[in-house]
Amino acid sequence: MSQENEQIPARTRTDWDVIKRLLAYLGGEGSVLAVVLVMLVLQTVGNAFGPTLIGRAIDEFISVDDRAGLRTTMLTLGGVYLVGWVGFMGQIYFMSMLSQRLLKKLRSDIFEHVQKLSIGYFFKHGAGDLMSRLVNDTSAVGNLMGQQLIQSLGSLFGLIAVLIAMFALNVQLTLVTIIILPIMVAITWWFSIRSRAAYRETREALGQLSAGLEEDLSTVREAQSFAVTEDVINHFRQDNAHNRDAEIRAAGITAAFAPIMDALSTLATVLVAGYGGYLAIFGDGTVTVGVVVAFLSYAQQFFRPVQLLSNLYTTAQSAFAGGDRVFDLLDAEPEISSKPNASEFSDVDGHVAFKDIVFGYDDSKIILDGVSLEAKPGEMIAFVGETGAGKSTFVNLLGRFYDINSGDLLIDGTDVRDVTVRSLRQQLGEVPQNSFLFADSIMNNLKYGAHEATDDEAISAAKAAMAHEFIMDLPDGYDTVLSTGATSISQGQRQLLCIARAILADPKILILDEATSNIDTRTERLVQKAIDNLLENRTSFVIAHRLSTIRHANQIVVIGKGGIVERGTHDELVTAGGHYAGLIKAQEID
Amino acid sequence: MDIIRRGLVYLRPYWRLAAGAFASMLIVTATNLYVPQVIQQLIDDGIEAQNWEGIIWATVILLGLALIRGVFSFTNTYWSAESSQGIAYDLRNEIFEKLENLSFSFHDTHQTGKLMTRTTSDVENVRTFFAQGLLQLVSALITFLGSIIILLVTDWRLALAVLSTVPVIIVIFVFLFSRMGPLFGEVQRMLGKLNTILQENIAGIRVVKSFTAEPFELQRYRDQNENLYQQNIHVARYFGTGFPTVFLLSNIGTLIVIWYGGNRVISEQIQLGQLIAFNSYLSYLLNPIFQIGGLSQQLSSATASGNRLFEIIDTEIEITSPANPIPITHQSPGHLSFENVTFRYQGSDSNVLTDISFEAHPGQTVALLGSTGSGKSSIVNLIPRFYDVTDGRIAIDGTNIREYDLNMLREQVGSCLQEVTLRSGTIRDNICFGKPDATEDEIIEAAKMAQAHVFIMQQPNGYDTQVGERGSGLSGGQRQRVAIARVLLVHPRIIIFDDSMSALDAETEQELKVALNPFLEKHTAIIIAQRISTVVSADQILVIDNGEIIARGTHTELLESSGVYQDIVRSQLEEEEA
Ligand SMILES: Nc1ncnc2c1ncn2[C@@H]1O[C@H](COP(=O)(O)OP(=O)(O)O)[C@@H](O)[C@H]1O
Ligand SMILES: Nc1ncnc2c1ncn2[C@@H]1O[C@H](COP(=O)(O)OP(=O)(O)O)[C@@H](O)[C@H]1O
Ligand SMILES: [Mg+2]
Ligand SMILES: [Mg+2]
Repeated sequence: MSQENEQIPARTRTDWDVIKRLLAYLGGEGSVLAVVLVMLVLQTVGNAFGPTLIGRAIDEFISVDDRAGLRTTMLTLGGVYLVGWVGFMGQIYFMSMLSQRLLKKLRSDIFEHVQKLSIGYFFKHGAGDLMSRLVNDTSAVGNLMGQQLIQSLGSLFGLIAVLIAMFALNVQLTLVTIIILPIMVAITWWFSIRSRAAYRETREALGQLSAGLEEDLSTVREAQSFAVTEDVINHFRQDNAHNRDAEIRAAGITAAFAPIMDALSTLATVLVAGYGGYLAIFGDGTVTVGVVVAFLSYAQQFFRPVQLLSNLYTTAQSAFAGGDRVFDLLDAEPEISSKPNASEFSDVDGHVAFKDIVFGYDDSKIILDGVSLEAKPGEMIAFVGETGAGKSTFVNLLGRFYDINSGDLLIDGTDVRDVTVRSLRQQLGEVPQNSFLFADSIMNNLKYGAHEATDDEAISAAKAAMAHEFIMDLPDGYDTVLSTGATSISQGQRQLLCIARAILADPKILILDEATSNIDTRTERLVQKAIDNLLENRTSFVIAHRLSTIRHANQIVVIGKGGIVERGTHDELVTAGGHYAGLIKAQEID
Repeated sequence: MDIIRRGLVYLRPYWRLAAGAFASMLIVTATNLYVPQVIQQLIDDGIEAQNWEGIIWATVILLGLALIRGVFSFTNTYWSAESSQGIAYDLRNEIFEKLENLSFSFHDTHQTGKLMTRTTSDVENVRTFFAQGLLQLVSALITFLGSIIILLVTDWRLALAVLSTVPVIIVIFVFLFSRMGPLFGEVQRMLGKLNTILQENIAGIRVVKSFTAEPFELQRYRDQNENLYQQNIHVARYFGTGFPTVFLLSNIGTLIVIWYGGNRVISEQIQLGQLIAFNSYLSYLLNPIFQIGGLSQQLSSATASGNRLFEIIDTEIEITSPANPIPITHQSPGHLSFENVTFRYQGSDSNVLTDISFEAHPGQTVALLGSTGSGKSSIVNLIPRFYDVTDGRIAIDGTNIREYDLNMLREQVGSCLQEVTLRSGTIRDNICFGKPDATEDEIIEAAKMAQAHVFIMQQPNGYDTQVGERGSGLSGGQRQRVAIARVLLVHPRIIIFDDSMSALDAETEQELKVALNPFLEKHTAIIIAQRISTVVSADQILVIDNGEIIARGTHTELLESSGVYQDIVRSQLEEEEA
């Protein structure tokens, strides 16, 4: 939300870095690229020979009344046009193919990389900004790699051809023609620095707009509830205006650049005319009038692609800025990843040991300070304690959503950091505190942790979780597609679905983080049976405020400031008359 | 075409800029046309005539022209950008404003990822058209018509021969345009789908990771990505055939002119010079055709996006203030009554609530109890008019809530929604959400009452501590208390707690209830909770089952009269007995 005081991060890669990496993406597409080039040549041939043939028709045939010659030339011209037509079609088609493939690959790569980033990264970066990188920044890159690339290739071809022709004709005049070139390069460079900053700002502004948009759309209910839609809209307008102004600024730079290049080209023409004219009139006769005339048209042919290229270079800054942001994301190291030679967990027994664990989300605030805990296979460990004490934090360490600062976390005697993250998490299943469901059908949501499960298995899991009945009441039963955030079913029903999903996933170690908090106690009692069945013979970590659910735990752990303040079975803790006994009292009906 | 007309309305505020850009473009075009003549003059009268003065004169003109052209090409680009960005800005604001105000039922059925695609990429498509396409299109059409006239005047027979290709070209355009519109619509739709997968993936990344579903997600994304690719290739095939064909046809026009015209020259029906002139005018005719061909892609894409945008803009907001709203203020006593309320969600074929009637007197607390999915949240969501009743009426202070000003109503009905959604920003920003101008004292008072002050002060930066999107960085119970403080701060007459203490431990909950007591005595409150201990002191408890009130009374009354209530109590007493 706070934009005013935020500094726009400068680009970290040079244009060349970005180009190199983008070219690497074209690497696998060598054959398509070759086809594009061939097509481009065909198209150029078509374009170039047309005027020549027409000139010949007029000069050599029409003016001497040669009808037969005219016919042959015209038929040839038709043939040339056909070749150009094929080249043109092929060029568009294969160039789209090339750029779309590049985009596809880039998008997939980013998405794949995003999957590897750790939870902490998502906490720092807005969902909308991440989306903007994947959507808007990649498409800016796509524009560059499509028509813009073709244009610059074509221009480059033309440029080289003219240059050769000029040198062949007269070196002196050629040098005069291109004497302006270094100035142009310098100016291009100067402008590209300005446009680089400006375009980076446009990409950031768009990212910010998207981030705000995503958050606004996902909290639209809150805004209406508090009758503050006006404020939210005004804030959006600010971001929107910021984006608009950044775009206009960047456009202004490009708009100023093109005419300057244009004027310089004219200056070059003038120089040629002046110097050439001088040589022709007062010179020793080596430079004829014809040569000067030819040079005048060469100068124009030469500077057209030069202008085009330099314009492309400044506008391409938008794509480079996009590419830079894309590569920022691609280069973000996942904080948590498997070691190179990590082994695989398969079917653990579920012996879990925390040894002197120290953990804090940032070092200034340690939440768990030297905590030890052991769960034997099949045991149920329950966590209770004040909200914010660190219960969720504790269980999150198991799946390595965050890494501990020090201490050891062992499963079946193996350090969790020595096995692949994937195989570790496959052993675990959780019903998280925030029930999240995808905007997909209920059936697909149920099978999310077990894609190979059959429909029948999914339905029995739903039945066990007391979800079957309400699902069948929905218009399309199990095929009902949930809305974003599953807002079209009640919150308790969402939790029931999450429980069913965990039941179906059938993990070795189960984590229930306040899994039934929004479910009424009568339904809970019924679901509890399913949960008890589920917990049997597997290690489980259960967080609950309603103490009935954890009474039978092998060990109840009371988390307080810095770690564990009390532990034992229900009976032991009640007799001890400490913290837990107090909680039990608080829950009694007055 | 209707869509283009509607689009042009957005140009109206910027017509001066657009006209300026257009005029600039005409001037640039004119200087461009003039330059070859000056060069010709430079060659003929200067260099070839070996006339030094002629050379200087012509170069001065050239430089002058470059200067003029420079100025106007700047204004052309800059004003185009300014006006098109202005249009995009307005369009985005309008869409966003609409989305922000569309009722809950709209958002229940529209995915966030798709809505984002509309607000960003669809708007951008329309903008590109206004920035580049429109001016070019207009000028191309003008040049086209102008050239036809010149050609007809120069040699009508030749002109007709050339124009013979024009109908074919037009047919191709119409075909292309009618085909590509829907194709681009499909591209945008697929992009929306792709973005939805992405948005959902990021929103649910925690679940993705814990179920190690990354490969699955990747596959799903790749598949959709592939679909999008195929669709884009499909479009490229149309465009890649149509556009070069138009180009070919215009080339054939040239061929006809030279061939047929050449023969006419040979038969001495026209002069060679005429043919040459005709040929050069021809390019003025063909260029615009060529340009329009290139624009057809932009135009189709903009039309497809425009259609999708107007779809949202045209969606009616179901829940609005009445024409002559009655104000409701903090002075309202806050007497709430449900009178035979029946409700069904849009698209559902059965009622979720049937014949709900109850009354909450000012200062009273009414508790709702019932099984999951019985309709408790649905009942309370009707009070701030998140949804409108299907039948019956809800009244505050005797007046139907539909007659109140909607914003004022929502200010007086504060709800702690069941699902807490905080926003990124500081904790203070979050508490102030409903009252941005609150004083520090008010904020702290609300936070203290919500039992949030203590933990907030323990955060590294106190009230200025940053939380992430959806309140990440706080524990579930902390989030709930911030959300409660957020509602308390606005001092609504009627306050709703929809299971909003579920993540609190029993002790904190007790403390919260004690702290809230003075507030609850002065305000009307509706409390939904699972725990009997939370509702036991309510003035009235309603037991909801299957969308109906099946029992009502105080705790003591219900203990005697209601079997279901006894059952609920029993389900919780068992906990304590073990
Ligand atoms: N992602 C995070 N980043 C920083 N701090 C966090 C994060 N998640 C939780 N915290 C802090 O850690 C503490 C423990 O939170 P948590 O484990 O969620 O508590 P609970 O016991 O209620 O589950 C809280 O003070 C919370 O503010
Ligand atoms: N936005 C919605 N659209 C359609 N159906 C809904 C929506 N919200 C809830 N429902 C359905 O209405 C019923 C009542 O839900 P709700 O009032 O949220 O129950 P609860 O008593 O748990 O709060 C449930 O069956 C639920 O699936
Ligand atoms: Mg927690
Ligand atoms: Mg509810």
